[in-house]
Amino acid sequence: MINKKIAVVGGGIIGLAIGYKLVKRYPNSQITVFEKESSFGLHQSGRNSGVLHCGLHYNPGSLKAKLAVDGIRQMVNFCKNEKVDHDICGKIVVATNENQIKYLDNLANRGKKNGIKNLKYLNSGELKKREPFVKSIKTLLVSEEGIVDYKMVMKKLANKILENNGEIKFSTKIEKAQNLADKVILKSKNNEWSYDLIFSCGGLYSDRNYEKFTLKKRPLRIIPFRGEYLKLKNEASNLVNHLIYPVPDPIYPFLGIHFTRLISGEREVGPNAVFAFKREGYKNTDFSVSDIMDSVFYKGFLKFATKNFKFCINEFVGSVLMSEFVNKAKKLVPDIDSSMFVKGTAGVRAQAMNNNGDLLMDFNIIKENNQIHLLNAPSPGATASLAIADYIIKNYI
Amino acid sequence: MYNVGTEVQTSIKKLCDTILKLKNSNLKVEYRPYTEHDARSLVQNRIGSRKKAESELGFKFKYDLEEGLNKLIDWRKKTGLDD
Repeated sequence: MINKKIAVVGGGIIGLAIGYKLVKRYPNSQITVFEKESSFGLHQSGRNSGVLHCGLHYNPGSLKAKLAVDGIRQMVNFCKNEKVDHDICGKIVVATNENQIKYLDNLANRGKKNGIKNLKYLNSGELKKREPFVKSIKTLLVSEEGIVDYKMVMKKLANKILENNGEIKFSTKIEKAQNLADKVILKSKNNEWSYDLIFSCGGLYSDRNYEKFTLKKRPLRIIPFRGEYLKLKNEASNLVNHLIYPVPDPIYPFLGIHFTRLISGEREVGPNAVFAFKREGYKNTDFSVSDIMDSVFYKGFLKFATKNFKFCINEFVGSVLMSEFVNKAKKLVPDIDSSMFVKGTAGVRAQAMNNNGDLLMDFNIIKENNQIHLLNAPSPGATASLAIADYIIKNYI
Repeated sequence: MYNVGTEVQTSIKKLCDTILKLKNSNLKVEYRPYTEHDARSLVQNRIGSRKKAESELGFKFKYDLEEGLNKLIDWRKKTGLDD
């Protein structure tokens, strides 16, 4: 790995983390990050709730579980060293009915197996002190988790790449790749470059990049799920102090609507999970025929929609009617009502699905010749980005 | 191998002062004596000749130091690398 030319396609948080680890590890190699937008992290990486996740929700033994705990510790260290705003404020997971207690206990067991320290159930006095407006019958505190400014993390990573003789080409979309002997030729509209090795970290376009670069059929498909947030007005912000999560409903594929305090001090609630009509479409009127066809004509999608019909309808209603959205949040903090919110930001999750309509929950990495593709990196992808970068470099180079 | 440059000599001090001026920065420059390591590795004068690049590549420089730095500063803002 001396004097190699290596490219990373995609300047989101994971692409930047890989670039950063590469310039540190291989100072004599020439590292280039390509980003199609004029700045880094404009999609998933810059449009999430800014939470530092541990390994609470992930199946023990999965790659997510393996990388989550190392990931949050590396990220917190990076933030400390680079003076990035963060706050290990802890998160509570709240059971609001009897049925949820066993799921909450399962979560606690999983967390322990995954290596999280200091998991603790709060008694009602402790909960009252921490979150006086939360209604709960059993509350788990994950004290290692917190909040962070991921945009600032990315800014530091990008600057570190440049300071260590790496290169970032903005506004440069890689349209094609060609394998030639032991080289990969990357082609934009007007230019081409030759590399010994490339990493593709395309986020919402990871599956299409795989197809375009390897000329092979993509083994999975990215189905975009938009997540919308509501912002608590200032006068109501005292209702939420830290992070408040529900016990995830095991029949639903996402974590559920939660309350977040952002680094800026604002409080948000969200996100829902609505099938998005466009991969990088952040309004519910955004629409792309090719993106819709890509999902709807995928054989896995129909299976998913049939299996998860109630979930899909429910989330769609929640997107159109603010009152439905707020009703879900009310289960955690009963004193809130619609008048306390204004519309917040939105993001689109890149969620991989297979032919059977199953959502792939774990990280997914495939190597084809000199191309390494990160095909699925859902939550906690941002928190774990530095650990994911280490893992990929160690196991796939 | 080609030199790409202006043939105008710029000291590190001038470069530093110009960047601070263009950035409206109130940072103060801290001067330290040469260490043994500096003395070993630092080339004290380096002015690349434009001749070969001009005659063989047709390269002609377009921007002087301040214009070039301003473009760099703008680029760093536009890309989000700087505030």
